[in-house]
Amino acid sequence: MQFDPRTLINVSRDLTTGNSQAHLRSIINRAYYGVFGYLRNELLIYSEGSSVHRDVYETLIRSVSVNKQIAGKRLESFFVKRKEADYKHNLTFHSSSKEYYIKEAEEIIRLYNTPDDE
Amino acid sequence: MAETLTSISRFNSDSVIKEKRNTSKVASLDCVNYHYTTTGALNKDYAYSIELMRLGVRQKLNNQFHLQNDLIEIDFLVRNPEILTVVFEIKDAIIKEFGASEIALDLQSESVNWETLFIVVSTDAVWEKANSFINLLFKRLFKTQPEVANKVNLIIAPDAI
Repeated sequence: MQFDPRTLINVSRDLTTGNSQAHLRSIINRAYYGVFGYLRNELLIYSEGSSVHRDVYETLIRSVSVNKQIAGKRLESFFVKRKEADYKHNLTFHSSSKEYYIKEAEEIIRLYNTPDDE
Repeated sequence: MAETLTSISRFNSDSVIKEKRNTSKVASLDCVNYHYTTTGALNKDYAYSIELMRLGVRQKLNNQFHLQNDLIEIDFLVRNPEILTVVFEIKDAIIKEFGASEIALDLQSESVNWETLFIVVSTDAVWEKANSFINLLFKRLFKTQPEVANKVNLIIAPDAI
């Protein structure tokens, strides 16, 4: 059975029991890759290089569906936050933001799967 | 803004150079230094034209945004003047929705073809409030100004900056 990247969001939720910077940064990272991996599979994008994030984003914002375009913009913002969580070690992430990124991942998936008229 | 930039590009920069050389602000900027290191008249005019456009954008921004990288965001707005008006409209909407918040501009450049100006909002607003605001904003923007929607984005998060 093929791996469902959305289960990474469950792992992100499991990590909310911790409050360390490592936990908070991992929550953002796992939540991002949960939604990104899901959309990449849905859009049948099979590239694996660093440009794959851009490929997914551009495919979404070029969609005729406004909801998918919005999902693309929100994924782009999430990509920036994920990079900060992974690479900007001078930043401090607050424990109050734990649920924020999990909800963000779930909202992007909801937008992607919701027709414009709903 | 577009009107200002057009008039700047048509302007004979020599008169401005004489006038502005006496002011310390302009004389300390990069492009003026560039002028002093070159001898070509074309380079001189180009450098001053760019510098005047930068000043125009900076005056328009009027210190209402924190610039993460300063000149990088200014130059992006010089290249994309149509975004300036939208940035202010978004800022006004942010203040109305979230109260007085610290708002920053941060150009993220992942590659030549992937450049986005992020409006970054530091706020303790709950996700639900930010969520509906972002969805409504981009719904309007994609319908009315899709080219601008492609070039700007928004980060509203508790640990935004």
